[in-house]
Amino acid sequence: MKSNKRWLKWICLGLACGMALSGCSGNGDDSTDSQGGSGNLPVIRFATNYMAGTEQFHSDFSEMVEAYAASVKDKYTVEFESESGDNLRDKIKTDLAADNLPDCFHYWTAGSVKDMVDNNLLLDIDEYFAVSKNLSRDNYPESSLGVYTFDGKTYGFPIEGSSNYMLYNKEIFDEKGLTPPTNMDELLEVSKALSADGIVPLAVGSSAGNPAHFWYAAVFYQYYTQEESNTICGEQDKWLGEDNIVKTGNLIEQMRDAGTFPADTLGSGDFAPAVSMYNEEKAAMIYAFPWVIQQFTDEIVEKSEFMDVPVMPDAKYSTSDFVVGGTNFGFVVNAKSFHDESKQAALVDFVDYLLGDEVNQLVAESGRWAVKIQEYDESKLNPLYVRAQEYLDGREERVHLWSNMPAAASQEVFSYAMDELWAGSATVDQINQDIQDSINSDLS
Amino acid sequence: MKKRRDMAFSAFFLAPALIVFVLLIIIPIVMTLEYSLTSWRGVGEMNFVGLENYIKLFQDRNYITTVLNSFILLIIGLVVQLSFGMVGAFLVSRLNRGYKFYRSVYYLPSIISAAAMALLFSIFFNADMGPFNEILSALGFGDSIAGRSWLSDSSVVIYFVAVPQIWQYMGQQFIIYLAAVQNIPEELFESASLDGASSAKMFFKITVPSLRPITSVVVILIITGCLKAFDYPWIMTTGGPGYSSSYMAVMMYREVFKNGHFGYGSAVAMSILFISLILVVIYNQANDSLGSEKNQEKRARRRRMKI
Repeated sequence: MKSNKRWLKWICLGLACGMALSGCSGNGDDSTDSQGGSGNLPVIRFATNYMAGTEQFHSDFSEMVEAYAASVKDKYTVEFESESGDNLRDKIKTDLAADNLPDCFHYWTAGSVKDMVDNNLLLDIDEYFAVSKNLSRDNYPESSLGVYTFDGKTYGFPIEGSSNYMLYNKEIFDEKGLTPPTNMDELLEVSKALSADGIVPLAVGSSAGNPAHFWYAAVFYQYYTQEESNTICGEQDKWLGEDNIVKTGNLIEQMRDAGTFPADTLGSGDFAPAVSMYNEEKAAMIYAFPWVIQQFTDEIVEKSEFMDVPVMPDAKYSTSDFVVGGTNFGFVVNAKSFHDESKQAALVDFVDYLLGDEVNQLVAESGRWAVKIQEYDESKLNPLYVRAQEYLDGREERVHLWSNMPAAASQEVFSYAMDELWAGSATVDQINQDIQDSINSDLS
Repeated sequence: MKKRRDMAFSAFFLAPALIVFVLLIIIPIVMTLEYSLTSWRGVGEMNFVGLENYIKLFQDRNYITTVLNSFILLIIGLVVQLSFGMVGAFLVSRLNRGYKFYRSVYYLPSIISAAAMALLFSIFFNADMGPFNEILSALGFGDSIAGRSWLSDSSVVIYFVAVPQIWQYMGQQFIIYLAAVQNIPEELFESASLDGASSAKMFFKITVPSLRPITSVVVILIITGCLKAFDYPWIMTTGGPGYSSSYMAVMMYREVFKNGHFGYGSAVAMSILFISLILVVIYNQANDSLGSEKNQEKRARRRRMKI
């Protein structure tokens, strides 16, 4: 009996060891590894939000880039790390904290990369251009490169501009006997008339600041130049004392109280709900952006006309002379990866492809405001994109305030302050104080 | 010798779980504690600041808001989930027919993804497009009720974020209590019934006392679940407007991953741990005290005096 028990114990032990070892065996295929790299081939980790999403662009981009990765699988392996939309920011912050930045990744501009630049994590692109066969500084407008430039050096490749545009549904306006508002008084009148009929006048809500902060900038820049904005956002204690910033907040409050925005500013905030509302003709006007162009239906595009943002009281600058936008998205390279001689050639080859004409043409076809200087096949561009470009041609670009904030923390505080402003859950003074505190904190 | 061999054998089988526990629970807690004592932004040097982050927490009105919100969720959870779990389990256990149907129906919401549920409710409560306000209007409520933007109204948004979460997990407590109720000897109910006790009296005099041990477990589950809640407010409102629908875990996430304040966010994370521990200890002490022989004798004496 005793020896049976002893045998049973040893059998159980053996089974347990066997199960443990079988769980550890093999390399475990990395689900992000498209190539199943082997041997000593360099591995390039590429993070992006261009591959996750429901737009045609996302699947086209994935197909294109994965095909290229397959074509070079004998030279190097590409590992794709894909996150959707703003989640890419969270992912990169996590990688940063884990000292595990990808080799190259899409990312936002200006304040978003400040921490990485300050810690010498990103590559000076002039070093890249020195070895690249296909790319040079001449491929990019200097104004676009400026968003990645700190102390005279540029740390990223600009890809997308964010030029904002405003559309109205001509059919709704004609039915109601209204004309598109050209100033604040007309905007408030039109808002009252439309909301009385159950139509949202302007599909701009605020969820984590989107898309509200763009509309806020459209009002703000009627009182400030780009240089003034740079000072207000880039120096301590400049935001709070500004009368026109208080005025901007008060004007937004007036619009909110007149029912200009969706009633549920948070629930109907963010880009997709705004476009959905406009597509379904539940909203008469929309303030929109390049990256949502593909989401508009053909029917609504037919019914839509461009308009300028209504002029605010005592505005110094005409809304027909400027466009809120600026390059807000691009591509950066991990400096450490570039300086690793074992992977530099592979990295340069892959980045040259990613930033090349073919991929960039696809970016432009999606409606995104491609900033790279190259020949674009205009016959393949989205018609609304072409119309928007024509409408906004020649206007001075003003960088939207979120991008102008000094670092990530103040960008987030600014975004959430917009939620509070739109929802009326904080006063203009409280919001401005919070924004000032965060700017001061980031600059200290 | 045999005892030592047996202990070694037990230790061998416990070791994997212990290693995983240390690697995935203890070490991260210690690291989080370390980060909470710094002003680290996720990159560059970690500057030691001592308890500065914790002092800042108690001066931060946003943090106080999130603590209050977490306690609102906790109180609603304790009241609703405990009572539904207990009463529901008692009633369903008394059924002759339909027992399995009710058991499945009440548990069903718990198995659905929280993210999907949160998205569903965010559309449901949307004042511009959702059906909730239309239902209220059809029920005869005026614009002051049926026209409100529940998710954008900072005075009430926390309730509209809390209620769906409480509703989704009611089934879990129900199932736990159902299993416990079924272990109460049937003879107790039979003899009470013979003595003329009503269902309510049987519930309060037999079921509730018998479920005390399992109630301890359920309360601890509710406390820990509510204090680490994140998904509902994040998906429905991202914790806004401002922080009015944020729980402590949402604030932790925003501070670390949105604002890049790893040190401060870690302090928020540690505060969740400390508050959970304090509440659980207080509850256990209160529970033990209630259940102690001395207190049981006191209560019996009071009952006899009443008779």
